[in-house]
Amino acid sequence: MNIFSIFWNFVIMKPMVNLLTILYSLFSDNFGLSIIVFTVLIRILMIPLSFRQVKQMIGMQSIQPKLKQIQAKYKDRKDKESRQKMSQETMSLYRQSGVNPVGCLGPMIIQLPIWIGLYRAIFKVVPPTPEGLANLSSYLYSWNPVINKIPLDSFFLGIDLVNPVQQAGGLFAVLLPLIVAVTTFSQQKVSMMKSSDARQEQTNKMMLWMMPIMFGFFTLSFPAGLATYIIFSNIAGFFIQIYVLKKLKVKHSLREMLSFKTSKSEDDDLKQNESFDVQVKEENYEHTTISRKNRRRSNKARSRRIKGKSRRS
Amino acid sequence: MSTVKRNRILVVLIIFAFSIFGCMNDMEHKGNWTSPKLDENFIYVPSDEGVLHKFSKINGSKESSWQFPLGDSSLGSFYGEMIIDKEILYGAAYGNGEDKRCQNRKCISSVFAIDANTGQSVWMEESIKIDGSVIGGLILHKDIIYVATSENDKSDSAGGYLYAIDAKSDSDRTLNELTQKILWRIPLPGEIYGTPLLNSEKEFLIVGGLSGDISIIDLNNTQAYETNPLSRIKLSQITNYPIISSIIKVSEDSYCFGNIKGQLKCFNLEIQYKNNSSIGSVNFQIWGELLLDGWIWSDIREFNNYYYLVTLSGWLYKIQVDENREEIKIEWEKELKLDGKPVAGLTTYTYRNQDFIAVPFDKDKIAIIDNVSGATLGEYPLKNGVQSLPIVNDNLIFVIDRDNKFRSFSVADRSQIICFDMKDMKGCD
Repeated sequence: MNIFSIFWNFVIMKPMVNLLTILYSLFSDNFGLSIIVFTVLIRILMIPLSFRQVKQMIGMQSIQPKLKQIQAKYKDRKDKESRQKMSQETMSLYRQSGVNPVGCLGPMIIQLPIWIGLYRAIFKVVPPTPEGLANLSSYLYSWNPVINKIPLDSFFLGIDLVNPVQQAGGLFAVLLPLIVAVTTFSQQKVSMMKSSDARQEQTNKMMLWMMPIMFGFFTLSFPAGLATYIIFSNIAGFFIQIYVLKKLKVKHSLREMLSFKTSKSEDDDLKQNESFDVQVKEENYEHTTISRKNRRRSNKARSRRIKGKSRRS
Repeated sequence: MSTVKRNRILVVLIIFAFSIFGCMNDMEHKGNWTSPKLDENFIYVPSDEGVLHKFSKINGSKESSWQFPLGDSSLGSFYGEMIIDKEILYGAAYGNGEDKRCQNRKCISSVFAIDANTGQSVWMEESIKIDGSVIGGLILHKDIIYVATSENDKSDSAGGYLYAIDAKSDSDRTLNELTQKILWRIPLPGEIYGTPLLNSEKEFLIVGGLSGDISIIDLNNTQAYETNPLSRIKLSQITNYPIISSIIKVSEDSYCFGNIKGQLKCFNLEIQYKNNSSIGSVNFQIWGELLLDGWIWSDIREFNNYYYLVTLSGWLYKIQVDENREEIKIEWEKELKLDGKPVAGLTTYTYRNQDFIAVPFDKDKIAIIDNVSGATLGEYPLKNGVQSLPIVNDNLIFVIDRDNKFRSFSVADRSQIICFDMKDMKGCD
């Protein structure tokens, strides 16, 4: 066994499989409920990462005009020296603003093994094959009380969570892909930030529609458990993103998020984004410090007032 | 920013692709758990492609015209052990019914009976299709095949079924004489992974299931059973933990079984018969218990009055069972530190008056253990492991490895004698 597989099995898979099975026991042997609770729990545990990700994205947004200026400055200079200078200036801008160009990817990369582990853990727990059942033995802790309940009941709301959605039959075969698509759309809509680049904005808009359609279509061949996971992961992600944006005081209202405006001219977009960027920057880098200072001042004033009252009395 | 966003989408797609690939891989019934089967001169080998091949035992050459099923057809994946009787090879495979491996639970098993000489089915149909998966082996008794299944349809209250299938050849029958092949089937509480144990003298089967259930099924034929096959179940005893390995007989009325908690339990059966020789009542009593390390998954083997078993965590045990003193004790135990799991169990053999145990691991080599001391003596060199039980005959050990290669090694010096790649259909190194 190499180091990677030891890490993967002992740090990711085993705790996930055991948590999922313990939740199964806690929620009256209901595997559907244990997937939902498990997904939401993992999503909640990853809130700090979401904060970091959004902060980095906001930071990137706020330095866009300056980045554009640098790019414009060196637009017609193709020599090696100029290129080097441009990258030096860009890097120093990143440093000054405390932004890492791949900073918003960092949390995603940390999340990557968690996502994959979560997907895999579901099917490790209710293995549809004899091979899977044999493999389960190496994931369960010896003290796990679920051992006498194996194989776990994979039925939830009348459907077998291990079978593909298209085999679920009736209403579920249509509903599940539809809900997956809608929740994927909502989650993406709430996570996407406006880009100052019109072409990028166009790509974002395309992805906003393409991904939910793709996910919805693929869901037909997914096991129903996976569809359940995606739905609740999206729902949890939607609310967590709103919470994170609200906490960071980003002007990104629900109405704005759910509006389907078509793009105006490139200049309009740029202006709009620049004003948005400034607003975000102010709110996040100045407003927060001012509000902290104000809070400190008002606290001091309040304590002075209390002291004065006590002396008078 | 645009690069970052593009990267972000790329990362999402990579996560998605990785996860889905992983899950889909977990959904496929790969099989490759069935051992080669030997008769006097030939070896019948199931391949990863869902077909059976025939090889000469003497020189290892493949019988080129012999294949079942013919052409590009496939039976799916092989799990249970085959049996050979009067030149007929009986077995079962599990597939999606469209010449492919099963990708999820809703698949069917094909039970087949092939003329070992011609490679043709001895029945009208190429195979008998039954619901559920056959993971354990078949039992042939008085021209009837008994096969236990794991039920696919989880909305069905039964965990599995026991099928009785008419094994007789259809070649001597006229069209009018052809009757339904499935004689009866009875539901069982748990999914069945092991091979039913036949008590041929007393005419009953003992089956252990994943619900921890042990069922005693009467095989006698009476009028009452014809109208109500369910009444064949004479006992359905629930024990605490799932039973995967087959139940074994240790003496006249004593039997032992292992479960996934690692408990080895032995019990007595007291059977009262009715006047018509069918079973009246059964008294079940557990008399001994031993806790071992890991899931007891594969079958327990009896060899020279000792019992051997290997758990999925790689612990090998030599056990003595004394039913008179109601005692189960470990003679020796040894942890085998190889990669993967010993899903196939173990095989025992004798060479030059010395007894050996061979334990294949599904991601590693086959360990060779000394029967007396439990010491590791060496390994049969294999790259990617073995999931089926090796068969020893005439100082040769025959194995099917995970790369779909049929190999044989000399038990004397562990050198490779035969290697045939069943994918490329040619010899290999």
